Amino acid sequence: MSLADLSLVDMIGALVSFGLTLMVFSYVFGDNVLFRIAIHLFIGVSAGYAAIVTVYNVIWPQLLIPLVFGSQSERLYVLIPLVLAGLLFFKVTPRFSALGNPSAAYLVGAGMAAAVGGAVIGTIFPQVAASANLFDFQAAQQAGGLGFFVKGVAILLGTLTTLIYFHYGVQPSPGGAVAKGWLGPLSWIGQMFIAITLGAVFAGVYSAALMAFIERVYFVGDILLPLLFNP
Amino acid sequence: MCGKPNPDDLDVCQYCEARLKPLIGPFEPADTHEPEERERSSVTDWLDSLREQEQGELFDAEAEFPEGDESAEDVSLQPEESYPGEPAEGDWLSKLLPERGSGEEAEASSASESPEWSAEEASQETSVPDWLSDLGKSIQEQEEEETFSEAEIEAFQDVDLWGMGELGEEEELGAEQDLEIGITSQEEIEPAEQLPKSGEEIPDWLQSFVESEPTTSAEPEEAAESEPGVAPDWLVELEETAGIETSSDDLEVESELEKIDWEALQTDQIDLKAGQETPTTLEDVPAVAPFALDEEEASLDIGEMPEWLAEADADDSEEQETPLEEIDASLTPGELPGWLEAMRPVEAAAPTAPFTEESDQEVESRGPLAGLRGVLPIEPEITQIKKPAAYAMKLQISDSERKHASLFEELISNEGVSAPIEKGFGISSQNVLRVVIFLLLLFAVGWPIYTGSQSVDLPLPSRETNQASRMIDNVMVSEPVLLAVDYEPGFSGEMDAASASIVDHLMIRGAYLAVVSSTPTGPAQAERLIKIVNNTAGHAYQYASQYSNFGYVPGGPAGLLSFAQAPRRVIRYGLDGEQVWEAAPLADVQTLADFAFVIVITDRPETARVWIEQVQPTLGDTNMILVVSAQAEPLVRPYYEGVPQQVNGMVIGLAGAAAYENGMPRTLLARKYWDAYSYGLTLAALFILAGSTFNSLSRVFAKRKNTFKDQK
Repeated sequence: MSLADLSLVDMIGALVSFGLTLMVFSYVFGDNVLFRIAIHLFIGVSAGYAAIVTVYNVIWPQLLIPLVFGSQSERLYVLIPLVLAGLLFFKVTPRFSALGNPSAAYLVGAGMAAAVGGAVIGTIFPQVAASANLFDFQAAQQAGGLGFFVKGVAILLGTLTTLIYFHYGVQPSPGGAVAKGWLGPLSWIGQMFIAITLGAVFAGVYSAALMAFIERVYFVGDILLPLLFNP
Repeated sequence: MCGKPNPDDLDVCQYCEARLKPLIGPFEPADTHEPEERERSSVTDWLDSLREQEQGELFDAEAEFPEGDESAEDVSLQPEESYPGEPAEGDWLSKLLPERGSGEEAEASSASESPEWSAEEASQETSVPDWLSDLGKSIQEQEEEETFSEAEIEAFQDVDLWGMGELGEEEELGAEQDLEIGITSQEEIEPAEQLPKSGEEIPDWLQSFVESEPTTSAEPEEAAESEPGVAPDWLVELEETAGIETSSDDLEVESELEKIDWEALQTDQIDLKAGQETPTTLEDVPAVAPFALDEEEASLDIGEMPEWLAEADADDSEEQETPLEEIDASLTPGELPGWLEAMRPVEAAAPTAPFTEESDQEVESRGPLAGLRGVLPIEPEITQIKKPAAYAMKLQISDSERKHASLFEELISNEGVSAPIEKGFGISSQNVLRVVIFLLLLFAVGWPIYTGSQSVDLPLPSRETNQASRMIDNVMVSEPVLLAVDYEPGFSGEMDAASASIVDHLMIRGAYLAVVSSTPTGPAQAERLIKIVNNTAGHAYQYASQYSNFGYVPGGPAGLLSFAQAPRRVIRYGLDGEQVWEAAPLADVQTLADFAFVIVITDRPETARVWIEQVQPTLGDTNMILVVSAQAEPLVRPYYEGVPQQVNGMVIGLAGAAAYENGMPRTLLARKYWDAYSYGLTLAALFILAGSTFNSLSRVFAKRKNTFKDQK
């Protein structure tokens, strides 16, 4: 890709992107105005774009069109969210913010119910069942034999020792409250599992950041190299 | 005096003409009031016991001491010196003692010698000598033991032991008052009963003594100016302990005391005891009301008060004469500091309840409370209008709590304030190291770009990648596939490369792409992804005919759950406003399970978890494939590793995309970035290793350095 291959609009966009990329890279010399301009611009554009998307993709097609062009039942159906959404505007002023409480309560309640229900049904129960199934010897023989069973043991050990690591109970003793003796080594094993997990997460974060850096370097190279070596 | 019986109606003995009835009227026995008076007076027990002993001395002296004994003479006079002093009754009076120690009278007092027993008593007010304590018998015992004849009683009454014989009415009242202050028992009152009334015959030697007595307390200033008398030392010492200023009249009294025929007095006292007849009962003595002031007492000449008392009175009168308005005007309103005002008790600011006169209160007439006044309110309290209690507006908190609150407030306030930009780029080791790392990374990444190198081999497809590839291979033409694009623009570099090969594979298979997003920027990212794949892989996927963009699904988990349960109701129009469900490939889609499979492309593990929790349970046999960022892999892999699988295939980051492309007939972005990614990742690993080594070595050297220092 070179600038010559782009249309005027794409060329302007490419130049703006090039400038903003250099402004972000300037952070290597410390916090500066150029970096902050780029960051604020990014946040502002993202918020503006999200608002436009919300209006054109949610409010207009799902609220206004049924309200204006829909049938009587559709109008009544959208009247409830319209009233609740209108009450949310009272949250702007502290004097009338209480009027927006029903809408906020509905949003929070529905959101929490969906989140908790999804976590129980979609994560806890399936994961508990999956961990227990690792010790199904018939399934293990079919899936991979001993390795399947070892993986199950490792998952079980990691789960238990990680939970033990977050156990802060102590038992009384003449010299004062001390942790139970057998919990110490298991807690240390759990700490190792947590360290490995956090290391993997850090590696993934670094990998993602490195990939973003590579993509930007490629973009800058696509702009600069033709200009420098093939003017 | 003779001891012979007489009829009750006679006032004078028919044999010896001694008086049978006392001149003083009957009075109420002090025993009946003893406990009450003890409570009201502040006289301590030791003083009471001392008084009892002193009073007992008065009547037992003649029995206990032989004739001519000086102790008996002193004991008989002791009440005179003891009652004015009363040091325990007023500390204010004892404070005057040092003043009394200076001056001529003090020198005169010190010039004369006092008996040893008197000096001991002066030095030890609370301690009573043994010989004196033996005299402390109760007056009842004395009454039982001693019986005096009327003549003896009369002779005893003639002895003006207190020198009150010819006191004026005022002085007499004052003396009575002084007596009453210290009276707490019948034993103490008895000597007062023996006082003769004014106008009665008093011996000459006592008459002269009595004449000088009233001026003792009335003219202290004159006493200070008079010449020192020749008072006995024991009297001087007693006065010192009693805290009374010695006046000229005192000195005169002392001089008169020198003239007293002590032997004659002793003889009279012994004669009193020799009769062994029961004296006149105390009931015949007229009662002296304690602390009672009559008109005569009220007419006491205030002008003869001591100077210090007159000054004090003058000050009080001046203060009282000042109008209250002037005082209020002259007082500036106080400005309490904040901390002091915060400490002010609430009761101080609260309005006090209005005063209710006792007469307004109703007297209970029935029931157990009959006769009591104001026990029950006349009207219920709810009808009484009261001002609400005033509460302090400031919190009464400690300094530590105030510091914590200010610190917390500062933390909150700083959230909305951007940190100031550092001026200039200082050359420091950290800044230099940052630039060096950036340059090294830039070289490692830029060199493959500049050279166009693709020397690093692509990784082999992993199990999860193969599963994803196989599922896509099974997609038929125009079969609808739900493609969720839920990553932020900041991660588009990684996510575009990770998902490009899959989208390319879908386009190769001719699947109908239904793009949806649960983030506002998702629809734009989806359009960009399709555009990149079209441009990179040479596809020409057209909107609506080959793919449709459902747009943004609001509501987070709840919105996704609603979308999973009823997609047609949640999504009606596409990104361009078209009826998305009217497209031919989507005509048969009523639920998400009607799609061939669902592919979720996201950079955040939370988003992936929401899709798995809310949407995957509704999919039934429809498979789900995750294309996630490398940072989300540790948290989403368990959904793939579990049995049964909740996620049927995964492509993780650039490595997963490279592996996926490795199994594809053509390469796209993953291959393009793979060399740079490999070099950059290797360099990062070297940086971490070098930093860890340097850090470990620095610790080792620091420990050795400290060890050497300790050894030295």
